[in-house]
Formats: sequence, C-alpha cells, structure tokens
Amino acid sequence: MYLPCGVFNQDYQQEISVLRHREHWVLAAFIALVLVSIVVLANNYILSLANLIGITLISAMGLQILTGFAGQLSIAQAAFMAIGAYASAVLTDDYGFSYWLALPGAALITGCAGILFGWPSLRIKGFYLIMATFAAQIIIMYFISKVFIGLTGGTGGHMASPPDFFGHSIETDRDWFILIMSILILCNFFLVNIKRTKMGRAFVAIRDNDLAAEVTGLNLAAYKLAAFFLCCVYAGAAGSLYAHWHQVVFPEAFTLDKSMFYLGYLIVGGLGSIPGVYFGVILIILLQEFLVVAIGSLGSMYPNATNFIAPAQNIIFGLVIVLFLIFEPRGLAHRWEIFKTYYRTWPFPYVATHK
Amino acid sequence: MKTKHFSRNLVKVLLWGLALGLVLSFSTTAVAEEKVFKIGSLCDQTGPMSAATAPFLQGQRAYQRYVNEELGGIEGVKVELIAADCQYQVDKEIAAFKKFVDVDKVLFFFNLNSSGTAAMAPMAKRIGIGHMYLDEPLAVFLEGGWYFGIVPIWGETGGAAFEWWLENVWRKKEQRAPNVGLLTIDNQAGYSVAIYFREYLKNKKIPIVVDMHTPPQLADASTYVDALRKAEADVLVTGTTPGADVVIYKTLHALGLSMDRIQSIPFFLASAGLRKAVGQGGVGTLMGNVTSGAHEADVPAIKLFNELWEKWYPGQAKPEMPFFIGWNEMDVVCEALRRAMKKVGYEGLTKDIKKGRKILKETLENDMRGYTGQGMFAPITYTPTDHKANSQVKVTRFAPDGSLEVLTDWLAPPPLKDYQRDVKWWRDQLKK
Repeated sequence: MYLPCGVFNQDYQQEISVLRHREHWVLAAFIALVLVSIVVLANNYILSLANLIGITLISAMGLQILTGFAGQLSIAQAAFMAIGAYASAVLTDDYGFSYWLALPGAALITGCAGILFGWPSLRIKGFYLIMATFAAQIIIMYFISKVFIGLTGGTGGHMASPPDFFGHSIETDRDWFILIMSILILCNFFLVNIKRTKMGRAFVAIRDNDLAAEVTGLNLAAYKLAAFFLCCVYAGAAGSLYAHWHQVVFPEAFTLDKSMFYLGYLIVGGLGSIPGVYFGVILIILLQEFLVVAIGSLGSMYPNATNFIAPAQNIIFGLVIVLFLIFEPRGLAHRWEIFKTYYRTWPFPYVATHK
Repeated sequence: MKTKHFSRNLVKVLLWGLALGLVLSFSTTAVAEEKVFKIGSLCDQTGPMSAATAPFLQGQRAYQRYVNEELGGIEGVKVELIAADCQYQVDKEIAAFKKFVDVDKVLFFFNLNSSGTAAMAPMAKRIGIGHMYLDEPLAVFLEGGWYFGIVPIWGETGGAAFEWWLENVWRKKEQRAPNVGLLTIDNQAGYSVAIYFREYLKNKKIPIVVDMHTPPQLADASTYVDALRKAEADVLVTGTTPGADVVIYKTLHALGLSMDRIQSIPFFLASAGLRKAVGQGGVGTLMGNVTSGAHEADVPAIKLFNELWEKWYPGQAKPEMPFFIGWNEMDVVCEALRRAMKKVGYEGLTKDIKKGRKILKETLENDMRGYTGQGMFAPITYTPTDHKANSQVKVTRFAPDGSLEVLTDWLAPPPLKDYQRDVKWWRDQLKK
C-alpha cells in the first residue's frame, strides 16, 4: 500500500490495516455517506443504475485479478457471468436451494469453469490467449442457449426468483442496492488483500515476466489457474446477482461485446489498479447512460432529425474513448495518483504531520 | 507545442459539447413539464438490428407529429414521445425502462426486441405500467400482465399465408399433403415461428421435412438449400433475418430449385431495398402483411397518411411495414388516451401517474373493441384477460416488378388452441 510521505508502518497491525491513515478514513466516510444518501434519496432509476454499476464492478474486479494483476488476457468475462447467472437461477428455481447457498455455489461453479477454460493459458499467452478466451465465450454461450436448453430455457430465458432475507423478499431496487453494495465491499476487501498476499505478488511477477517468475520458483501453472479461478468466482457472483436482480436471465445479456467492454473498463480505468476498476466502470456506464438520455432528448426536440441524431451516441462515445486513450493511456487511476500526489505535497515538497 | 495546444482545444470542444447536450436534455425535461401525455419508446436507432427496427420509431414519431401538428394534440393535450436508443442491449432497455417509470413518469411505453420484452413484462406487471410491442408470446400470455400486442404472433402471419397457399395454389395442382421445409432464425423470434408452425402443421397432419435454425448473419445457405433439395420440400416457410432471407432465396434461385415460399416474419421482406437485393429469387414469395401499405390508396387511413407524407416530405419514397407498425402503436395508445380522457379528464390521467397508468390499461382492455385505425390494421379487441391484438393479415405476394401485390382482405389462420395461450406451454416448447 502506498503511504503519504512521513507515514511509516511500525507494527504488523498497521501493516495489514486497510484503512491506514486519515485520508483513507475520510474517503471511507465520504463513500459511506454517498451510499447512505443513495439509499435514502435516490429513485428507482438511480438505484437501478447504481446496481448495474455495482454488479459490473464485481465482475470487472475479477477480470482485474486475471488481466490487471496476472497479465492473462480474457474476452470471455460476460460468458463467465452467464455461467454464474444460470447456475444460480437453476439452483434456486429448479432445485429449491436458498439464494444464500446458490450465490456462493454459482460463484464456485463458475470458478471451476474458469479453471477448465484457463487451461490453455498454461501453453499460450498474449493474442493467442485472447483467441482461446474468445472461443470460450462462443462455446459457453452456445451450450447455454443451444445444448442445455432443458436446464437453461434456451433463448426463452430462465426465471430467477428474488431471494428471501428473514421473511423479507429482496425485490425492490433499494433492497438490491444494499445487497449488491455489501457484496461489492466484501469483494473489494478480498481484492485488496489478494493483491498484497504472496499469491498477489506472484500474479504481478508472472505478468511482468513469466520466465523470470518461473526461474524464481513460482509454479506458473498453479498461479495462472488460480487467477482464472478467482476471476471467475467474481464473475459468477456478479452473474448470480444480475440474474436475481432482474428475476430473469437471457443469453442476450452476456454477449461478446459485453466481454469486450470489460476489458475496456480496465484499460480506461487503469490495468492493475483497484481504484482503476471503479473509475473505468463508473465513467463508461455513466457516459453511455448520459448519451442515451441526451441523444433521446435531442431526438424529442427535433423529431424530424432522429435519423441524423441517433448515430451521434456512438460517435461521441467512440471519440471520448479514443481521446482518452491518447491523452491518458495509463488509465484514470494514473490521473488519480497525480491528483493525490499534487495535493499531498501542496504547498510544500512533502508533509510529515501524522502517522 | 502546437499539437498539444490543438489537443487541449479539442478536449475543451468535446467537453463543451457534452455540457451542451446535458443542458439541452434538461431543457427538454423542463419543456416536458407542460401539459403533455408522456409516452416512452425503447428503440434501436443504432446497433446490430437497427436496419430492421429503426423505422418503428420513425413511425411513432410521424404519428406524434400528426397528432400534435395536425390535430392539435389529444383533446388539446400534446403528446411527448421520449425515446431511448438501447442498441439491442437488454441492460440498456431495463435502465431506460426504469427511467421512463421513475424520472420521466410516462403513462405507457413501447418495447423493442423479444428477449427484452419478455424480461420486462413481469417488471411492468409488478410496477403497473402498460407496454406494447409485437405479439411476443412470453409477454402477451403472461397472466395478469400489462403488455399489449399490436400484431399477430410471428407464425400466425405465415400461418394465414400458408392457409391461403394451401387452398389456392397447392390444392389446385396436388391432393397429397405438401412437404414443408422450415427455416427459422436462431433467436426467440425465430423460435416463436418454429413453435407455431410445428403445432399448426401437426394439427393439419402436414409433414415438416426440414426443420433448421439459421444464424442471424448467414453468408452461405448451401447447407440449408441442400437439405431442402434432398428432402424434396414442396414449400419453404422462413422466419429469418432480412440478410438470411436474401441469401437463401438467391441460392434457391441460382440452383434452379423451384419451390413455393412463405415468409413468416414479414417485415424483413417489406423493404424495397431488400426486395431489390433478392431480385428474381424472391418473386412469388407470400407473406402475411400486418398493416395496410402505402400503395393501398383506397384505405381511408392510408389516404390520409399519403396526404400527410406529401405535405411533410414531398417526393420522398413512402415508408414500409415496420414504419406503419410504429405508427399503429401510437395510433392505438393515443386513441385509448383520447377515450380515457373523455372519462376522467387530463388531471385524472396525470395527477396520480400510477392511477393514470391503470386507467389507460383499463381503457385499452374495455373500450378498444374492434378498433382498426380507419383500416390501417385488422380489428383489435383487447379484453381484461386477453391482450393479444388479432391474428389477421393481408396475404401479400412479391410481384415480378418488385412491388407487393395484396391478394386478400384481412385473413386469419386457425385460432390458437387454449393450451397455446399459456406462457408455460411456450416455455416448455422453447426447452425442446
């Protein structure tokens, strides 16, 4: 963990604490305030957007482990989410499992699928691995929509009943917001800890130079498969939340372009950075939503120009992403680091006021 | 240095553009606070299906213009159509749906795409907001649902055309049952057609000799055409994408395979561009047209429409079926609003939006018996327990000159059996 100048860890408790110094506590309090404000003040539309962002964040965190930390490229994240979504829907609605068992169950099932589809990563890497995960996306969605239709309902979709929490059915967007944010916080906590464990450091070593990592005695196969497993556990949990939040699951929700977007979230936010996941997901989802609303409003103002206005949504979105990549290729997380550094040292070279 | 300066300016221009968009969107919202009826429209203006589906919104917008500019609104109240381009993504549709409900507070909304419609029908039922799209079985047969169909189920369209073909073409040359080849797109719309036809032909004891699903993007139809040839199919029923239709029909034509053809998702061929693309390969194809077309000048609604079109867009090519489906959706909802307003007034519909939505739904269920939009579509009758629009179509043939030749007045296939009016039956069929 990066610490401000002048702050030193003097015991193990300080070393392992997640909220280590004042800025961390201020940020945590601010986030808590925002979350509570959303619960109290937001309408279903805002809550629904926040829920979508929360679920996307959980899945993107998984991909950050695999791609950002371990350097294994994947474009099958949406398909892995689909496994979790369908597993959870089938476990609850067809086999009568409680959602609170189905959620971790779906995550584990997806994790196991991740090991299976991560197997090629032991032999191939880079663009070849992208092609292997592309195949995974196709195969998984084919099996879901064509082969296991007795189980999944095929293109007709599968119902996913809302969970029950001590007699209270979790159905409203507000209920879901609380549940999704709770799980997001847990996932974030695990992610922070994964990054600084021996395993996390091994992932980074493999990403930076796999040959050197192997020479130092790391078991590449085990760590690569572990990265796939963890990535898919996150994707499975996100898929499960997605299915039961909508109360129905369809193959169309897990297309290849969705998987591509997951990689895009990390590139825009910052590969290998935990805040980067948040920046990338929030920026892209809000930008897309803003464009839908703004272009829709322009269409209402000028109904006769609808045909000309509609493509602007894609053009502006593409332009923003391209410009962003040109001017900040290291992602928003890097910009955030610059911002923090500036204010930490302003107006002096550095401050040493607190531990 | 200059490049950096230019780049900064470019970013500034972009940010100002975005800010302007934001301001405009808020200003539109402010205008919308006037006395208006708000209706939402989920649409695909861009995205993979937009070529086939964008005209729906154009039709809705044209009707909005007709009501607001020519009629002065519904009893003086303007209609505001709030559109959201969802690019064929269920996530975007659901987000826009929630915005319609909570932020825009629309009275009613139009869906787009089968999966999104089926996903949203239970949500709309829970919230209590009416919505409309094509007759999607998983939504229209949802018990206690708030969904209303506007056209027959895809399948019934082909079924009506098949009935006409059987009596007027096949029986005149053969007495045996024809061998049917069935090619449907590998998605929910295609499965609806396949499920309908399997049951329909089983009841008529007509064999299906080829039953295959085609991918949305079909580059080579030789596998399917070869299967049809080997199975000696007499008639081909398709329910595929426009592109797949073009490839299949052109391949059949190129290989000299002469078999009669029935198109069961008719708006794919109801496009002059696609008819031109398929050329002679498509001539003779039958389909069930769900609306009157711009060339049917004797229909009162079409006469009015043609006058408006000439006034608005002189000399421009007239729109085709998907456009008219959008037009019809708006027509039915605006007519229901007019009738509801007579009962409860503007305040009654808009003061308490939840109550207004319920009144609109009940008006559609109870007061829209036999409504035809002045001949634009077959009579629509909704009831509290049946939100299916109708099952009648005009059987239409692709003429050698590339035009569409209307062969019949409104014609229906055999009515659906009771078990077919059940979501569970459709779900079970989808699992087979």
